Amino acid sequence: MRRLRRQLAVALAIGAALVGHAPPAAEATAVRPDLPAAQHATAATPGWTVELDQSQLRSTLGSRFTFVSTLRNESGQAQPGTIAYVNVLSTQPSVYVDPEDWSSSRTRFLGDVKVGETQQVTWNLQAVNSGSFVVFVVVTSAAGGNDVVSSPALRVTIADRRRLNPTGILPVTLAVPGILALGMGWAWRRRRRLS
Amino acid sequence: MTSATGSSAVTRPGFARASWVVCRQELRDLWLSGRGMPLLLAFSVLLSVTSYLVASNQALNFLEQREAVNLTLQMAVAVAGLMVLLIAGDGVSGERERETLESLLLTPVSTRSLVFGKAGAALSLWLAAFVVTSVYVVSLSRGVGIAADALVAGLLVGTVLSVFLAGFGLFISVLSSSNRFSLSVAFFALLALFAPSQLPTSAQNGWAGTTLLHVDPFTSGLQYLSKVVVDAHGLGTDVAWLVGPLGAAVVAVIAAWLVAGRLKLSPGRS
Repeated sequence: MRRLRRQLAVALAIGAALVGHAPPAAEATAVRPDLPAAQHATAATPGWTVELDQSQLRSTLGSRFTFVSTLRNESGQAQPGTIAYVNVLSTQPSVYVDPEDWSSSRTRFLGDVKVGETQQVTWNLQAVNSGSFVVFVVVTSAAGGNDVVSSPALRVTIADRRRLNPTGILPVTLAVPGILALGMGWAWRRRRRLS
Repeated sequence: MTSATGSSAVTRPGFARASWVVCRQELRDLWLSGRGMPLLLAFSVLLSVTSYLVASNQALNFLEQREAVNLTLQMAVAVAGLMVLLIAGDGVSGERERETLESLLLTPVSTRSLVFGKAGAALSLWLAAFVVTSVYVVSLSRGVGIAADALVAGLLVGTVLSVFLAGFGLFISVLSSSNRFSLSVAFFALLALFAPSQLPTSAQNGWAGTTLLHVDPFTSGLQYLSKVVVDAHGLGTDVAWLVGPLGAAVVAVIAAWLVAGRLKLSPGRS
């Protein structure tokens, strides 16, 4: 019985391959060796292609960084109400990310994008957490199909930054209570001497 | 407070002179043997922690420099107000509880002079707190040139709020028979006054929300500070925000004046 099932599965796989219905997973992981690396990183669907100007970025906590996404309408028809949206996720489960903290302007309304037209969007983000993150841009349209197209990942590594004396405030924060404590000690000694 | 005047005084001095005599004695009690220095030390530690925190965030670009100064100044004004309320709330009910009020009432000064002398001492806590605050504000506002405006606005708002809280604290203190009652009522009122500033933005809209923000002395005072320090408005641009604190201060001082006149030796009341 088990042998019969295995034979049936093999026959079905061969049949599918012959009529061109390869399993979806195989299609998604297929890599064309004739394309350059940047194009491998391009996500494509019938609607748009979305590319980023870089695939890796290193920065420090609190710094701002910029990248550019380029979207192209390849749907064969004009796309009304095109919307681009940037998102951030952490690759470490212990790091909580609130994308609103990274950018206050995460949604861009691009209007109508004509057939074959290319639009570039510059994104300004601030690194508010340290660690490893993935930043990506998705594109969709206000009216139209259900397609949401994502860019490839921009891998961002943010180094922690610790300063003992930020903006030179440390001496003040130590000196003022220190002087007051000395004053209090003087008053206490004076009181004891008088009593 | 220890006895304010010598027993040789026969005629009652004028209100201002008597108030000054009481105030001087209260200042001595507060700063040399009382809670003045410990409170100020605790205040400076709190400001140190706050300013270090805002400076760290400012260094990481999470906080604008003006916002860092504003945050520190608002914290200083609010906590200094709390300290003034603490001292004023203890003014009369504390004497009553320590059974020293009778000897005070027998001194040849009017009860109003007693109460207003105590108010002066309570306000000295704000002035000392302001001097401490100015060191942090100057340090945090280096480079943007807002220290002068921030300090003038802080002194203005802090003084008005402190006068209001001193008057209010003494008003409650005169009417209370125990310190616990006086301080709990004063702190509850203070929390209630802070509440509107914590309302979400959506609840602050509309005529009712706007009116509440303008009437509440704390919210409007802190709003004025924000306008001057963060929005870089001139000191005279948003004076409408100071109407609420000024009105509250006048009402509190009048209320304290009225109840101070009723303060007298009451047989059987400790």
